[in-house]
Amino acid sequence: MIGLRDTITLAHTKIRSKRLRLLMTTIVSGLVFGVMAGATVLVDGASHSLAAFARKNLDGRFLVQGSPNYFGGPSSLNPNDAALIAEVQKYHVAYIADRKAAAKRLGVEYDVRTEVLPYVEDTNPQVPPEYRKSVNFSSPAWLRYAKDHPVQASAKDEAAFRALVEPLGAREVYVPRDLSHLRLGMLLGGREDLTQAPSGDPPKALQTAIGQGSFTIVDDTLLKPFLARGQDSSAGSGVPVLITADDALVTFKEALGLSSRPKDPTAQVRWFQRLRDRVTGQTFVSCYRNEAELARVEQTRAQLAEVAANRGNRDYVAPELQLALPTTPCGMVTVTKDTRSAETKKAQDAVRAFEQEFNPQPEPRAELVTFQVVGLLPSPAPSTSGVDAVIGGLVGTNYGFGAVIPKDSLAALPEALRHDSLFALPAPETVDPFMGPMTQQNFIASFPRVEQARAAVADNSCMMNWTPRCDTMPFSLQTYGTNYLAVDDIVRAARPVIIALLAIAFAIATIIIWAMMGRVIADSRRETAVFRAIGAKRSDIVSVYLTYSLWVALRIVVFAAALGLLIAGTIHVLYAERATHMAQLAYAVFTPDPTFGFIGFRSPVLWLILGGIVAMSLVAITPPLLRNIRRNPIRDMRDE
Amino acid sequence: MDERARDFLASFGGDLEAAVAALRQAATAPPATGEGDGHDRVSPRHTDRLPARSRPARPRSGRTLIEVTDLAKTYRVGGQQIRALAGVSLTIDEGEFVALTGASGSGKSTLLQLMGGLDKPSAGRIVIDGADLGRMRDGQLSTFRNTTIGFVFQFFYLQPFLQLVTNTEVPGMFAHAKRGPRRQRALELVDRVGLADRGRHLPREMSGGQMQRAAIARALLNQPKLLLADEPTGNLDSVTGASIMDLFEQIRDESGTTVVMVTHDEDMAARADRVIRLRDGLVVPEGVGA
Repeated sequence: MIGLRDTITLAHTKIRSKRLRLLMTTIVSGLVFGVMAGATVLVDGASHSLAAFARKNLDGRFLVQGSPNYFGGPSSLNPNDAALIAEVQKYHVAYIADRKAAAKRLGVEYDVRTEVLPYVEDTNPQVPPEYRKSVNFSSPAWLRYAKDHPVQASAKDEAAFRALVEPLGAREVYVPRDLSHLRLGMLLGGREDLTQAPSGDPPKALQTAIGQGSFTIVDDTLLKPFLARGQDSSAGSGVPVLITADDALVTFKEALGLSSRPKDPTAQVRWFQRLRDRVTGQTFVSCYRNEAELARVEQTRAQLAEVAANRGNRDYVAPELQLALPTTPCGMVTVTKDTRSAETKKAQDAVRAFEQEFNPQPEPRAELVTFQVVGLLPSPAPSTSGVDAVIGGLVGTNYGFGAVIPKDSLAALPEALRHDSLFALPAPETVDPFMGPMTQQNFIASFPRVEQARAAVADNSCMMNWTPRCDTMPFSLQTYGTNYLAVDDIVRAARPVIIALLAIAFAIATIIIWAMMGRVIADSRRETAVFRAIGAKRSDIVSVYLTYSLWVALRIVVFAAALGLLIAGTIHVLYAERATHMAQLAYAVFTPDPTFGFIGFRSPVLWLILGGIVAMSLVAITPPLLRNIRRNPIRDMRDE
Repeated sequence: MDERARDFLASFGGDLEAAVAALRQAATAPPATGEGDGHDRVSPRHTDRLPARSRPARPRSGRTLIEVTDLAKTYRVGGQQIRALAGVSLTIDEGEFVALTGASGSGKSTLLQLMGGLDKPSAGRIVIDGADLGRMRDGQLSTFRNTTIGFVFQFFYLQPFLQLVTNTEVPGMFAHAKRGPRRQRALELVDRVGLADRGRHLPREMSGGQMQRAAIARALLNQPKLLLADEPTGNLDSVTGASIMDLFEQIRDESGTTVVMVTHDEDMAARADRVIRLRDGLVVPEGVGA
């Protein structure tokens, strides 16, 4: 076969012919592919930058949070099922019997008509008879039945989570404890306002995460970059807590004379560091009241309102048991007057005992908790411009939704400050009629490599793409803490659109290249015939034209790559510094390295696009070329 | 008849009438005025007026180079069978310069193309230099064309974006010839066809005659035994055409290359050693008017 150098020499002569057509093809195809290449380079650059920050942020850990997945469940449960209703009815009969026996034993008057029935009936005549009667899922009988017949097949516990993530490469599993059920309310200036007087919006400080009691206990390891240095937990004066920059500003702005967040990201970095230095060590107090005490507060409030409403009413008979709201921070409701007779007291105690037997309630409890700020969590600035919003979305974190208590630092505190019994209180369990007991416990897995974390999330996430497999997933995984897979999430969400755009772009470019190549080859029939006449083998001609095709493809590839690089490079020059500062803020990584970049060449999609151009050019040239070399050279030489 | 007369007649294929006509034409022609010695060489301007046998023919080896036997070629055009060749038989000796003439559609170009292995005959046999073209596969035919045959076309068919020397090298590229010797030979050939000062020029910078000379140089690169020329002067003026004919003669004389040329120009045909006339796909027997 003809030598490579000679092949290139002859192919080059083709390049010099039909220059305008070739130029147009190169430009149009190059533009289409260039934009695609640019987008790919951008996405890859951003993606790797995020991973680099995440790696630095947590010493090479990539965190994934798993939430129990309750999408599936027994679909066979039919609330109108007569057999099920009959079964629940049996539980109802047993419940009533228990209640009657208890009432008799405690000397309480009991009216069975006050009980909630195990089913509800729809009297609408238009409803078919078989659908009129259905199980009442809020009835005590159903709750008893559901307890005896758990429908959730598999547990969503730590063991189940480990079984899922460890084969995927997870090294550690952490179990954060959500404390929002404690409803810890922050005291403003050491006082609490329990009157709930309608005085407009609550103060801003009470609208923050710490104001609303959104606390989570997390392992110190996962909070390392956000913990202020030099904090000795054992010498602390309260429960250690990391709060968001925004919460810190709102809570301590006046007390510490803090300045507002500047707009410029570079200035924001300095502002964040100053803010962290200022608020570290500051304390605030919150109050815990259990359900019983909260009920008493509510009862007191209603009673006070009733008394106030009847002030001056001579016919009004004041309550025998009069209550007062607490007067000390996080104090208990107090009894100010009790004129009940011994008989009444006895009867009321009996009723309480009766209710306790069937629906046990703890004794009223209130506890003051002192928190000490030991670090600052990032809270991205609200973005106004489109670009900042996009970058903000990329580098955002989900640490900042609440306040976080470092678990190990908490454990190192003196016992008097730890509030062990309070933080150990379990969250109330929810029982779903279809799902059974539903725990909302989340778990966190740590992966040493971003690819492992990415694969784990991709295989166990139903946020973006719902598939029938989602029903069988025990946990739904997503990134935790830093948003290092933000780009992946965007790409995954936009995948159908991206695929469609890629297909359209490829189709357009294919048509252009196909038409150009087809025309060039068709125009080369005589040349092919002459080559054949002077002794070229078919394989020689194929070599020459394939080389030509590769050459054309290479020009388009170079043009597309250059354009892609130009697009990504321009965005990099314009926004990389800003993105770096935003990422530094979000990840609390303030070292010179890493920096945020928008240029990356590791995506296989990029090479797929560039390789696709070459493949397409070769495919485009093949049919007309094969036709040409099969033609009778005489025929083509005669057509002058 | 003396020996010279017999040879002279033989050079016309025994065609007495043609020989006589040539002698008459020679007798009425003006004296040669060519440069140089002015005796044994003629100006290209006047060459076309000279009879084919007015100059000494190079002694032929007598070895048959081309043997065509009962060659037929039928084309199918629009459902109709067109008979281009209807049983041609002829032989051409090594070192012979043969002109194929005939009216348009007589089959002369078809015969040339079949000889060049560019097309397959419907019937018959072509043997060139002992090789039966009909028994060769496509690749073998390509190699055979590349090494044994040189083609010259009416429209030159040079590569428009290759310099003249590189254009000349193209058959060598397909022959896998080494670059150095190939370039050297191309330069020699370019010089030989009188285009030494045009070696770095592109075809568009040259005249028709120069392009045809370049095409001839290209055809000679692999030192073929046979040069097939299809209307090589058809696109040139008569003076330029005559110079091309000179070149063919020179090649034949110096290298012993067999030249088979298709032409409808009787004057050009007359420059050949032998003229084979075709009519309706058949060789017109010698002595019969075309």
